[in-house]
Amino acid sequence: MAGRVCLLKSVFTAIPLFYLSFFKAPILVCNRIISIQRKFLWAWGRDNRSISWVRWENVCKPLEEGGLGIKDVRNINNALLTKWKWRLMNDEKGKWKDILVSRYGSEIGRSQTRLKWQSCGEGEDDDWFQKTIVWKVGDGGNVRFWEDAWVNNNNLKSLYPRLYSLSMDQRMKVGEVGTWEGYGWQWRLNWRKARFKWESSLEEELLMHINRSVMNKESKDSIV
Amino acid sequence: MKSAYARLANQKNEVHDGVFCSLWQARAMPKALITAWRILLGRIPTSVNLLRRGVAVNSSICVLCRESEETSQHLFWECSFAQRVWSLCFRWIGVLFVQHKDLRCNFENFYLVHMSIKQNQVWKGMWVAIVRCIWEKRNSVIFKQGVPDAEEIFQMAQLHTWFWLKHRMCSFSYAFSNWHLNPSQCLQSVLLKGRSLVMLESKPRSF
Repeated sequence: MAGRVCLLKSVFTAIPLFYLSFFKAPILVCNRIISIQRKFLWAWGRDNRSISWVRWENVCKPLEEGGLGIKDVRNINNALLTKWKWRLMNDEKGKWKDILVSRYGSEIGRSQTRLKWQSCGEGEDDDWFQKTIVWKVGDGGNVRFWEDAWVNNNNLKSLYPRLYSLSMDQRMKVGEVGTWEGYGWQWRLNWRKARFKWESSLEEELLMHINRSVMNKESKDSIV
Repeated sequence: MKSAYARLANQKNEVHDGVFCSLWQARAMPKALITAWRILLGRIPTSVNLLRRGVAVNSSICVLCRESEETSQHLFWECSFAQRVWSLCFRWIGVLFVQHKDLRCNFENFYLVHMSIKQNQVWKGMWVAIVRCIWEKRNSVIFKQGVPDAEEIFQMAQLHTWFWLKHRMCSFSYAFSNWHLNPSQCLQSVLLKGRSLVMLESKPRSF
């Protein structure tokens, strides 16, 4: 069985790698691949009967957690596609990127765009990526003020939910929420209505919070 | 890519399990390691397990002691036969035989206090060899009309471990008689130089 585990890791995972790195594999295909792998692992012979002694999810766990460390096809697929997304957002030059941007708009790679690049993960797969990445703000042209994590690895929306609900510019970019005055940056937050006292103090706290990150006119936004 | 994979997989996983960490670090045949892995999970085709999965088995009585049902817990730990093998092993290395409550507990405590981490990795290999030999014996009793013999199982395990050490570790140059007579001395002088033995990830080997 150890030999089969070895083969699974080296050969079976490598065969579909190229396709997995470009296309989102349909669930049916994934399930088929997994079923082939599972049958191989538990040595299904010609008579097509064998017992799978350990659940596939557990087999896929890393060695330290009591699995065999075999990689799950679905996760490999998503991880490989995420790499493209990363490169799209990380300010890289390339013809492939120009083509995609002209087709889908500059917000490609972000969720909630009107035209969505289908092959690049969707639904809940997409969400985790948006939630995980952390931005380093440059000129503030790409980062969303409320929704992206750009201060202290957390987004302001979840840190100050009350203020978020009051804000006029929920979808604004960081660069739009304020102006350059001389060499200094001045925040300008717009609210729907006058604030109560405790909300004002929250606002001060928020300003303190965001003043710690430095804006830079020259550099573009990047992800860390 | 790697971090993304870890992140995706992590959404459903739980914390690390020290038992399996030390299991995969044990110096033993990959084949035996996999068996040990299945045994620790209790996923080994014992008669009770087979019955539960609807396979027709003659009887679910343990073939080694013929006293109790053959669960994996019983076969490798509770069975009086297995206990004899373990006590032989502990006497051999000169450690007091402790009655742990189950097999997992036994594996966790299967280390020698006065030895380094790497020497204990070798020693854990002995544990793996023992469970593997018990399992092989059980199979030979069922399918080849073998005779259960604790002494024999223990010697097989000794031999297996020695063989593995001899061929996988350049610094291990003891004859079997030395290993048989004075294991702790052999262990103590095992010097594992930088050369790491990656077991499952290495090139496929046939067994």
